[in-house]
Amino acid sequence: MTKQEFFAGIFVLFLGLAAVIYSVVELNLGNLAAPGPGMFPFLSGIGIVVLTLVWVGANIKKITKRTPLWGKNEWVNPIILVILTIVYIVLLEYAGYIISTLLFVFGWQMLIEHRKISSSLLTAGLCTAALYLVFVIFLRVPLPEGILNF
Amino acid sequence: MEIFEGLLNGFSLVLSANNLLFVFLGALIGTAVGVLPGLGPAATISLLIPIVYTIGNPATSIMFLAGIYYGAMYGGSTTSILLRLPGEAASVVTCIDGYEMAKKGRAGSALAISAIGSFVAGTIGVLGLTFLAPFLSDFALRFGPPEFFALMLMGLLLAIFLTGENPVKGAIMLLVGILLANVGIDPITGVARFTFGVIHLRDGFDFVVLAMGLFGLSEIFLTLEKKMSAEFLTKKIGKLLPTKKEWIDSRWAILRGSLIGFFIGIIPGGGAVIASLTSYAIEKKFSKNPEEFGKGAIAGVAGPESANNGAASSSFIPLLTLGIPGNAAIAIIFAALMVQGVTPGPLLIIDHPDVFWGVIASMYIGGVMLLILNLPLVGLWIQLLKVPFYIMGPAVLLITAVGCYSLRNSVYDLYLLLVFGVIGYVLRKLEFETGPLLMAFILAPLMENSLRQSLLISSGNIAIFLTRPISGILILIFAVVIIFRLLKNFRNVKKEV
Repeated sequence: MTKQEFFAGIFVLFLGLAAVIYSVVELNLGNLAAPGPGMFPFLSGIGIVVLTLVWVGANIKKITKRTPLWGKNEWVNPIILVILTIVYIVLLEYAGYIISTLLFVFGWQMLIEHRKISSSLLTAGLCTAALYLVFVIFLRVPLPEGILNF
Repeated sequence: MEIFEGLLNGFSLVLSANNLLFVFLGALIGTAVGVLPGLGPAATISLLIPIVYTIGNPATSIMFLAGIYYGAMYGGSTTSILLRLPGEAASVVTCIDGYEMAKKGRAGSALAISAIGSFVAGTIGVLGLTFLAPFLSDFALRFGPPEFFALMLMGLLLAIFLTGENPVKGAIMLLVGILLANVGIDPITGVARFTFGVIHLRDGFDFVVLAMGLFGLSEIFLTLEKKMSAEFLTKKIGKLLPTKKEWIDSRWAILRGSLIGFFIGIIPGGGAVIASLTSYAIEKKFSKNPEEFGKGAIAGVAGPESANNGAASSSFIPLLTLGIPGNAAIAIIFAALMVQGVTPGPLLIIDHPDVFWGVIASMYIGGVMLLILNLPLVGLWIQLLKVPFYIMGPAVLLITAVGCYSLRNSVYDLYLLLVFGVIGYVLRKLEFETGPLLMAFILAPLMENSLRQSLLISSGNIAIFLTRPISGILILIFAVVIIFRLLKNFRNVKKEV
């Protein structure tokens, strides 16, 4: 077991405990003859707690040194993508599908692929046009129009 | 007689222009998914669920989704043989001898044998499905809530114990999946669970958003870490017709692989990956020249490729007859049917014969389509690998986002997609399997209902699960599997010492 797995185990253990406490305090457990809405999450929470204790307990003496989850700079692109996606979702509602998609693909080309501005713009334009054609024109998916109104 | 009548009705349904088109599209997309490394059938099926909503007809939807599932098994062999790049997990073992054959200029034979083996195994699997499924459905009509609860529990746990590297971690994921499914309004009492006053949470999580995040988006994150580049081993595929000796060497491997795949596919958690690995091990054992394995033995391609297709067909048996999905991809198909008001299980053949026989008939036709798509067009599929990731990556993510948004026309689902994508990515980095989480999430409402009904019937006596013969036997089978697994672990530990 790695250190990361150990901490993940502790996190899951608290999740299970939280489910047990929530089921007891906030939901009605009922009884075996008439189970209430809290019974199933309560049993699941108990199961998580027991299994996590078994898993962590069995491996606690074998915790290996922290082996990095990511190699050198491997985490950079996933983080950029998370930020790009958040910006895309925020823009989608206000600026509409076309502008947000254009910016998203352009951002991907520039920040993740490190391509030239001209080829990034071209790819973003073509990609947006193709997706607009498929979803809006052919499949008639109602997507946010935003400030462009189409 | 009823079987032939049902099958004929199924064929008449499939042979309409609209359904033929969707079977073809399923086979085509499936092959593409199999060819492209990374995006597996579970991720693709989840990405395409919104399209299924627009199809509207459950029979057509399942034909389309099933086509993607078994089509991926066909396509997976192409890149395994030519590039030593398994497009699909079940084709990993094909790399060993397939790539060696390609290096020796026998890529054409390897591709032909794997396509023919896939076709034979797929046909044997569908024949088994045709004749076995109605009997199993009939038998399962005797099931009550305790039997269904025991069956679902056994199915989920077997899936973990048979496939997972670490069954305890798999079981934890399964329970987390159940907890996630509990978010929202309890359908029996109307009480809000785990909503914390957030209105959006009252509807619970949509399985499509969860599946897209856990499988689709997390895959993109993983791919971004290390850009994959496919080096072409050879531009020349060679003759597609195997030699007489290659036929002789592979015919029994195809037959054995088909049967192994068929029987392993029926077991929940069995699936195509175990089938192909088992077949490879058996072929090596049966071979007169086991030393050839790993150096380009055609039986090492024929057996596993037949086995993974046999398993893909037969994994529909527990879905259609018992309502138990054996793996994550089948679980998504299960959920897609549920959303359209069709409950897979013993009553499916009675309530929705069009869905039941339609999908079986579509597999016969889909098999022929795949044979045509995969053999003469092999060069075309290789070209697909040349589409650069800077186009493929954003396109897949944007298709996922549009599919997700179109579910409820809400950006809230897009935020959820991102959250589940990040969770799936981190879980995979920590080597937690996300398949059991999704399977449990989909089955949890049915399991909870069966458990509550069983306890009501027995006035709270939990012995009901052991005293009723069918559920008792199911639990006994599960106990035997666990004991064997524990014994195997114990022996391995002893060996290490």
